[in-house]
Amino acid sequence: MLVNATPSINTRRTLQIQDVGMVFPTKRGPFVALRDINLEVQRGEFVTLIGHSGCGKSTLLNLVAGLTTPSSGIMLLQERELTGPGPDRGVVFQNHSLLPWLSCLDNVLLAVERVFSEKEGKAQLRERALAALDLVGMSHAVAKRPHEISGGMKQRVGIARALAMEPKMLLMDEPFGALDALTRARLQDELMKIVATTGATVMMVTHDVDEAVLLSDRIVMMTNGPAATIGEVLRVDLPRPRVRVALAENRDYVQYRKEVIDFLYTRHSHVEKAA
Amino acid sequence: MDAAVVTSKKTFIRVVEVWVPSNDRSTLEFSAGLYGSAKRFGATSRQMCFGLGEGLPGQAWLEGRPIVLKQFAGANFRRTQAAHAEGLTCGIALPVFAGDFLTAVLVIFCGDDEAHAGAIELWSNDPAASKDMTLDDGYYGSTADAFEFISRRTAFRQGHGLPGLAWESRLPVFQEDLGKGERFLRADSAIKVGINRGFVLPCATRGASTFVMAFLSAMATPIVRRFETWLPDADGERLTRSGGFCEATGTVPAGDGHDFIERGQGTLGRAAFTGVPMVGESAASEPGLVGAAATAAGLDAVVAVPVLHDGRLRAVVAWYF
Repeated sequence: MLVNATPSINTRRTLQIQDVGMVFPTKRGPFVALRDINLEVQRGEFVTLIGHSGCGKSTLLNLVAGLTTPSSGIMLLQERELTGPGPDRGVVFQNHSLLPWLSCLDNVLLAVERVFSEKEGKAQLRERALAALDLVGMSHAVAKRPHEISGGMKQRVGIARALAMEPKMLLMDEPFGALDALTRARLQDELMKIVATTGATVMMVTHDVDEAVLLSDRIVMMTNGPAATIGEVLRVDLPRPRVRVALAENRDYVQYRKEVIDFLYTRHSHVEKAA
Repeated sequence: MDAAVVTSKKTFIRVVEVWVPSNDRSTLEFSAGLYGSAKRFGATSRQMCFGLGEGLPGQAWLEGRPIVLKQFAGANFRRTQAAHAEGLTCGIALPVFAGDFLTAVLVIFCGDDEAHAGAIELWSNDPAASKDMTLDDGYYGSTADAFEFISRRTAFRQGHGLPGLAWESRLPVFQEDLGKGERFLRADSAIKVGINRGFVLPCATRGASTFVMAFLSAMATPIVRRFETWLPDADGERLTRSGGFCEATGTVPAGDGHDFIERGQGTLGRAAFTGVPMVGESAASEPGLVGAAATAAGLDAVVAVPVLHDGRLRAVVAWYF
């Protein structure tokens, strides 16, 4: 029997999520958080997950991060199955998660050493950490500890720490959710520049419609939980680099924004109505 | 709503014709047609036949999938002059496959005018490539730019949106007021351009890909005057009405189980029996509920379209004109 043993490999495909479901055991019985999740993310693509609270978007991000294991289905990162956390995925949380007793540089260095210490000397590791901090505009504060810098700066260090590991994917769980509007806008702009410079593949959870449209190549809209799944995917064909002020009056930007708002507040609004 | 007012409206679908393989399956021959006022176009069409890849029907046969033809001139279309003379601006060819074998090609023509608000969309999913159903092609007339913009960038999952629902159920899906329902995911854009009726038909094609055809139209330009979906029983011997919508009388209820159509009986029964779309030029003389509905609502003709999946009959759709 002739068998074609040469699988075709899509070299652009970074992440594959196939038929993933997540069920949590509870006192009242199994709780189906996610079902039938299928998604592919291409190399260099910026994908946001948007949906109401409880729709499982952070659960999905945690699954990709390897922090929890799916109840069903498989996930592949560059054709290799994900079985747990790893340095190939840099995670940025809403809470900056920096170690308070270490300086900004040492916080980043800790991550860099974990990945590159077997191949590189101390000087090279330090160079990597400094370069990452420079990328996020934090060169001036390398010696400062987290309590000495603002919330926005902490998030920048968190992003630097994630990027310094040269991950295959950057996973961000509402990274700017705890920041004031002006700081958030500035960091969004900086994130776009960083992604343009590094070509990073990003999956980001957000509640913010404008943030989703501004940053994304694709917006993955999730239905309400329980048993949430992907309902609709919107491709955002706005040219890059994207300039916030110009986009505010861009007809296409307004259309995209309306579509996401309509999905969240017209078609999938019953969570809010019930609350 | 007054039936006389409704029947005076132009329907979004202006012409329907059915092409079937010849006995030796070398060409597609004219089987039936409903031309309304486009009589000269009908006279031209009745004399024609199409080989594999020839004209709009032959192209759908060759490719084994539905085709939306938005511009006749310069395309592989052999009736351009006749179509333009009748004000027809868009043609859709829906091949009907029972498994690998073509039973017929249903060709639909629509017209475009100043008052026109409507769209025809072909959505597809290739299971080897994606879990998404995306827009394959679409005809949006002259008024639906904003709607087209979003449609071309939206992907549906199975069970979501009208295309996704038809994909999941393999059955026709209808929504009479797109702006009010949560099932139609592009409601905001649709309302803006006046589209408020949606009818989605799953297409029986050759190959693994799924195609669904969405007909979206405005109240002033209904897709057809009435439509119904009929479902076969477990043995495939009888059809029972599962529901529908009439521009004259509103929602059409499901049959009570006693008013059924036998396989082979009337236009709908013949479509169920043969797997070939059928045209009944006198809807009022059809048996049972079909004839009664046509008489009550003042409808002229009926077209029965079989909906097949994997070679099995899933439903018969009745379009009344």
